[in-house]
Amino acid sequence: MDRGNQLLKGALDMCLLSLIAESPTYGYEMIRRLEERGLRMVSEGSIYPRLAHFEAHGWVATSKKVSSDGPVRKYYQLTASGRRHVVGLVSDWQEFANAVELIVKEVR
Amino acid sequence: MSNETVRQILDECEAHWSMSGSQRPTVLRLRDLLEAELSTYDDEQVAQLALHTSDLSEKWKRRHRSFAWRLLDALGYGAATMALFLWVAHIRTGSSSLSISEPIWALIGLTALLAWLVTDTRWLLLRDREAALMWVAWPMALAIVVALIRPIPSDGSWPFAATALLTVAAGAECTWSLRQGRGRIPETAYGDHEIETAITSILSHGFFVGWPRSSTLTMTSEIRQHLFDARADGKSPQQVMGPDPRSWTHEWAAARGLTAAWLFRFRLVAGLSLGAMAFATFPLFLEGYSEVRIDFAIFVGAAVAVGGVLATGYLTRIWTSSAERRLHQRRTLFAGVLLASAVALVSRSFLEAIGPLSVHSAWSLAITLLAAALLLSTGLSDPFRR
Repeated sequence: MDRGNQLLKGALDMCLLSLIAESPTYGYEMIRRLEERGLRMVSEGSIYPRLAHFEAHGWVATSKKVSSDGPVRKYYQLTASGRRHVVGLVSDWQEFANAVELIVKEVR
Repeated sequence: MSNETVRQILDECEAHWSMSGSQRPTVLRLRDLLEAELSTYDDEQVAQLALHTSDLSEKWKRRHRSFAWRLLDALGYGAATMALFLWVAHIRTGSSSLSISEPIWALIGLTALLAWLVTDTRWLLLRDREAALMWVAWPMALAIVVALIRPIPSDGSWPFAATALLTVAAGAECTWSLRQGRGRIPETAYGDHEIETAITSILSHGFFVGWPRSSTLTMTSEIRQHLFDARADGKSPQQVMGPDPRSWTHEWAAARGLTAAWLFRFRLVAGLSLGAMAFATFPLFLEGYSEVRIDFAIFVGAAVAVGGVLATGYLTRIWTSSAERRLHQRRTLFAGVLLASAVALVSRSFLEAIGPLSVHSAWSLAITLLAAALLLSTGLSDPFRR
């Protein structure tokens, strides 16, 4: 799990922004969607500071919607600059992953 | 649903008011008034308001807060602190050494009394005993200590410097909250009560540690939404946050770069003390310099402190808007000048042992008063520490 956390550190922003790019979503929903896709090591407290960071940089816009389960939910939606940013992150990630793949393929 | 939504609205509005520089008494008054107003609304109206808390908090503040009111509040608090300082000094040194006339004494006393009667200070004293204790007792205790350990010179600069120092001490708003609700979350049950128990625990812990109030409230608002969503998904608060919500909260605070009040104060005071001392003593070792102007030392000390705080602030802080960033810069500048003035004057006896010094009284007084007025009127509150 610790190893997973280390690997996740550099990719969490990209994963969160990618989820937001799929459709506007809220904090808890993001955790659920990450878990569904196998990223169970994401700490629930860790994503909100990242979301605040995205908002501060203008990568996401927020809106509130009434929820039937409790207080009003805050939804995050990708902005144009957020889309450009996540495209850059994904491109860097693919380059990095390809390079690592070339290095480790013999071990497998 | 309505109760949670009302609490969410109140927390978010309080965070907004704290962030925009309102002092604690004002925030409490605005919150109480809003709570009373919301209690007359039905669920649908409350839900609509919850969608626009930024607008609501702005409008509510404008409706219930005038500049004259804030000024009077600030004057009253400054006057009360200064009156106590002078009173202690008077007892210790006798009236002959104080250059303050009877009419000014009367004016100070009347301003303090009037402000206490009609402004938000009364709200604080009635509503939040612990905050009131810190608000009143901390500067008053410092006033007594400063007046007791130092003779009061007759040039008039000491009382103002001391007032400035005390104002900063109070303005840093280190709420001495009790660690209420520290108990662990029950293992099995979950529901509204458990969620609110967890939230209370986080809030009181955040205030105790001295994280900025606005950030703590923003955080608990997010956590409340999160826990309700988790509950709908069948998860208890304990499953989400672990057995101790405070540890979970620390992770959040660390990721957000929040600074505890004591650390913030230490950093500022250390920076400006070192800066002022270094500048004040260095020229005395150079040939041709026989004296050092305290005023310049003050500015150098302030520059060091401001630079240090800004540098660390920019590296670690998250601002959600450029307005927050600008507010942070202004507060840092004001407080740096103010603190530097006070510390340089307080350290005067030390500097006198090293070499001859001169003080330009008019400048010292003007700078200190200006900084004190700005700081008092806007408050050294959350934007400064985020």
